[in-house]
Amino acid sequence: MVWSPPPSARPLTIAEVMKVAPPTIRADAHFAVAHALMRGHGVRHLPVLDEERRLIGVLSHDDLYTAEATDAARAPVDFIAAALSAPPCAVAPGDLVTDVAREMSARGLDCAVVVDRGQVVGLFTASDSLALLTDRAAP
Amino acid sequence: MKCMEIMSAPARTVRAEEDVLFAACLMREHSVGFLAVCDAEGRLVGVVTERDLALRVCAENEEAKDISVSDVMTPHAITCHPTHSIGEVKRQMLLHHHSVLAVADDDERPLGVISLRDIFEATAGEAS
Repeated sequence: MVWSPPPSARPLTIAEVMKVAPPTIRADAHFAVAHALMRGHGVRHLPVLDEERRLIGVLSHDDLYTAEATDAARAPVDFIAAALSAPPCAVAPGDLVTDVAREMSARGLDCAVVVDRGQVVGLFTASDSLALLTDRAAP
Repeated sequence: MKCMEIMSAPARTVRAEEDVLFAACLMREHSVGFLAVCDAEGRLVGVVTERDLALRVCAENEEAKDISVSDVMTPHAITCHPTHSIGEVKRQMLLHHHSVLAVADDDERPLGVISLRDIFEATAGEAS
């Protein structure tokens, strides 16, 4: 039997489902650092920060492999910054999951970064929404 | 090096008429974010990603068991053949902005999946 939430169920906020304190990376870091961070933490997305730790993008492992496949890794520029493909989807902890998912879907993004008072505090990915979907249906 | 040498096989597949919840459970069971979608004869008719499945349901607040895979899949997806070279597959991926492709035979039956990561790791292995 499949469980379904009642229509009146309280909508979830991103703060309730996000991964807290995700690993981040500086825009001027080398690709090797990104690979090591992703492998070490078992993640596919890294929020990218400037020198003042403000969010300027998200590096996905697809971005990384695409950049390396197109030889961007050999360019003498800020490596991570050169690989960023789209402006980040930055959301607040109190935003509703439905609203965030809608924005991610509309923009074709796999990940939203949760920012509170200018600092990255969490991450919500398409994988998290898949887990939410299957957990919600668990008996 | 050919595609068949480094692809992940077998392809994880789902029927187009199955519901989204079934497909989501399949993805979690196999720890994949990509499924080849087949018709009743086992021929590839599209592909579906975890973003297609889960974000649609979360965004629209719909019941996952009420939506069919065919409603959210990408139809007529770009595929590659097992005998294609790695270089050709990589060119297709970059041209179409895909990081994962289904690998299908001459009858459009899915045999596996290949990702940019597979290519990167295979190429790195060759270089070392």
